[in-house]
Amino acid sequence: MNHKDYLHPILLIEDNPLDLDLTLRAFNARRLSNPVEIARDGEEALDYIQKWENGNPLPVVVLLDLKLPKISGLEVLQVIKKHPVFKKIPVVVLTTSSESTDVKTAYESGVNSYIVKPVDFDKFIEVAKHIELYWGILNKPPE
Amino acid sequence: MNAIMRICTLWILLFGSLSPATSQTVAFDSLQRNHIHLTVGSEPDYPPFCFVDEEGLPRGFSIDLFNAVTAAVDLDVRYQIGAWDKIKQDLAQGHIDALPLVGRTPEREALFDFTFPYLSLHGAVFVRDNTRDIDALSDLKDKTLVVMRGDNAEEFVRRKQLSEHIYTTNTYSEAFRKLASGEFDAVITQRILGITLLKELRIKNVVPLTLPLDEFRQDFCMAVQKGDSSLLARLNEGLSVVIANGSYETLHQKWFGPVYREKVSLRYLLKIVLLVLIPVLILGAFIWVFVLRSEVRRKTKGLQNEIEEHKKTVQILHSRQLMLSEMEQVSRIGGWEYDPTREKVNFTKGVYTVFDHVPQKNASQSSNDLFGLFYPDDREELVRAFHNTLKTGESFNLELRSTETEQGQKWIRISGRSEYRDGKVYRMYGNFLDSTDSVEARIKLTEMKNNLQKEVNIRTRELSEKVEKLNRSQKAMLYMVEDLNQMTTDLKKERQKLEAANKELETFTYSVSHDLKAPLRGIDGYSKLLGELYADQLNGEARQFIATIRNSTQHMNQLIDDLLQYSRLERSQLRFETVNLEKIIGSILTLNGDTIKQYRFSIKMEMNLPEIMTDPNGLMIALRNLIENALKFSKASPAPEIEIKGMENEETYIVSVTDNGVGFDMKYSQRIFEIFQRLHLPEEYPGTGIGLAMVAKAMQRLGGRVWTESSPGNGASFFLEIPKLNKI
Repeated sequence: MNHKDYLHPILLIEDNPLDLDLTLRAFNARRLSNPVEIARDGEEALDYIQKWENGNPLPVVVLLDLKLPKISGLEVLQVIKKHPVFKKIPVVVLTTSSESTDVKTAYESGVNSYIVKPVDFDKFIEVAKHIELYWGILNKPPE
Repeated sequence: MNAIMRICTLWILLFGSLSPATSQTVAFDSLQRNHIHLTVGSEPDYPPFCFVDEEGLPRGFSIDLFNAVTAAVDLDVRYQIGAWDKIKQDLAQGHIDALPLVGRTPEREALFDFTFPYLSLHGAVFVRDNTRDIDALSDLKDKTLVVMRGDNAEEFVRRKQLSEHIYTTNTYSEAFRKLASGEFDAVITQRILGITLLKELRIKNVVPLTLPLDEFRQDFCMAVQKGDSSLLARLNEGLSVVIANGSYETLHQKWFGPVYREKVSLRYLLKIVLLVLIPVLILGAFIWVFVLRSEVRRKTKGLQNEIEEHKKTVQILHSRQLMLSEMEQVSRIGGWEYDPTREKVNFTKGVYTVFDHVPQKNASQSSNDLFGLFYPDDREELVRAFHNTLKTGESFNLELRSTETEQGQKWIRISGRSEYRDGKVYRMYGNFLDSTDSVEARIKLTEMKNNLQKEVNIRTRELSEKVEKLNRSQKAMLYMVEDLNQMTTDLKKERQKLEAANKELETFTYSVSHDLKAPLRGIDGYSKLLGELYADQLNGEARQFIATIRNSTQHMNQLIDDLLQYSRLERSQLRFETVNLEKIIGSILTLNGDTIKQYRFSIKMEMNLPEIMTDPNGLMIALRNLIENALKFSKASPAPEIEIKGMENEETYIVSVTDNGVGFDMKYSQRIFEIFQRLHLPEEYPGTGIGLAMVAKAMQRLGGRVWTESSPGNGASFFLEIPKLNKI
């Protein structure tokens, strides 16, 4: 994990520019070592599977917003979880919605973690730190 | 044998005593009264039947039997001995009254009357023992035969013309002596007589031949003068008595018994048997004659009885006719008959009982007299039926009215039928009966039936109406059901709409939470970044502003969260399960553990409640808000304290949360449960004004309620009332 070349990217799927900027800033504030790949909607998220087939590295974790243009976050989740290779990649829902139905559906579709984005930026930085620590460093994805 | 004999005798006695006409009985009476002495002839030499002993007295079986017979019927006897030819003539001429032993032959029947035979003997041909040339009767033709003069043997040989040389002697003893001495060739006589005589005469060289003389069988009877029927009847009676009382048997034993024993040859025995059997058979024949005679008498009597019966029948018929008339009168019926050939009508007497008016009986009563009995209007029907019967033979049965009289009119049932002879109706007959009562009864019955029918009709109509009504109500009900179905459908639609609306609301809530929070996060994030990244360019006031912005953002965030929770509470489904209150409260206290620690809260809990049935979510929201409220308003107290208590009433559980905080004026006790209502400044006690409204809403959904008791500065108590579910 010390070799930067071998660090897998974090795939961040987020449409809101403010949220996207703040998320990246939160990761930066924690001096995140993994590169962050960005998808702005569901389509772009699924395109990444194509990119991987063309030689791009597998993401170490997918951070998924549920409310996305074109293809919703839940649909993206379901496609990923059915993919023979991508299904092994941990998916963390990072959303504003704390609706129990969303939580339930997400977990039923195989999400690994469900995090409600805190409005308090200090707390958001905390969340980013935990995500990086756990999913980027501690968690050992299947080979 | 003895028994049969006795029975036969009894018959003989019976018929014998009955058979002679009354005149005979008179003669018998006179005989008895006069006690007549009979003079009887007897032969000197016809052993063992009739012969004379050394003292010159008559002896023999026939003599003994005759004595026994006459003694039995009370007759005195005097014997007169004479040669057979002589005494036979004496009887024929009436010089003597009877002979004890006479063979019955056709020749003699003209001269004498005979009793029934008491002995039957067979004849035999006696020859010298050296005679060898006689094997058949035809061999006798040229032989010299000798018989006793006038004996039935003589009659027999002459009748049969057995020989051309027939000689006679006075007795058979003489005949046998002459045969033994070589005179003549054969003697023909009764076998038993011959044997007896030869034994007496000690003649050894004469024997009977086995040659049978079939037609020389002799029935021996007693004989009387021709026409002396009274004496004949007495003798027959006597014979019957003698046979019945066993004297005959005794005498027979006496005279014939020893003979058989001395010569015990089979042939001899057979002869004896024949001698006994034949008389018995003859006796039987005589009994038959008596039986037949009595049968004739019986038949005659039967005929007389029949005549009597006939007379009686005529009498009975007469009385029956009387009875019929009586019956006709009582039952009011009568009969009629019509003779088509003579065109004449006859009525029974019943016609007077049935009809009040009957035309005078006349000799030429015609069918019009029958028709005239009926009411003119109904007459035609009868005439038609009558002629139809006459023509076709079909029976008729009509109910017609009688001619009107002063007594009124009657209903008459008249029937008629026919009798055929040679394909033609030769007689018509029938009866009539007064059916007024039954017709009236029928009319009454018909009326009753009609009334009943009417009643039934009315009832049926009523019933139909009721059924109609019922049908209508049923229809109405069907409409109602239809309406209900419609309403249900509408309701379903409404529910679907509601669900759609809910969905919409969810989407709205989703958007609110998502879309409202995103800008908040931006405001907060960039305010912080501004404060951090540009700290050196900001003075104290600017930094204060940034802090205020961030506080407002937090407040806004809280407000959105509370609103979301409130709306979720309204929409969420109730889900009842057993709930442990202590556990729930424990988890709420754990959640607020920091605050409790920080302000050194003293928490007292006395639940003493069982696990209760309720919706855990709703209860959790209510308790959490109350406890957090209590913490918030009492944390500034010198020794903050919270007391949580549980109580059980009959139908509810009560949970109370009491603090020793600031309290409030009871005039706001209702208002504090309304949404967005606050009693304090946000800088004193921050809050959205949604918490208690949420408590009230949650309790309402559980079927319970919440209320409060407080006064300013003295803390506050909040009470939750949870219904016992099984009591609802």
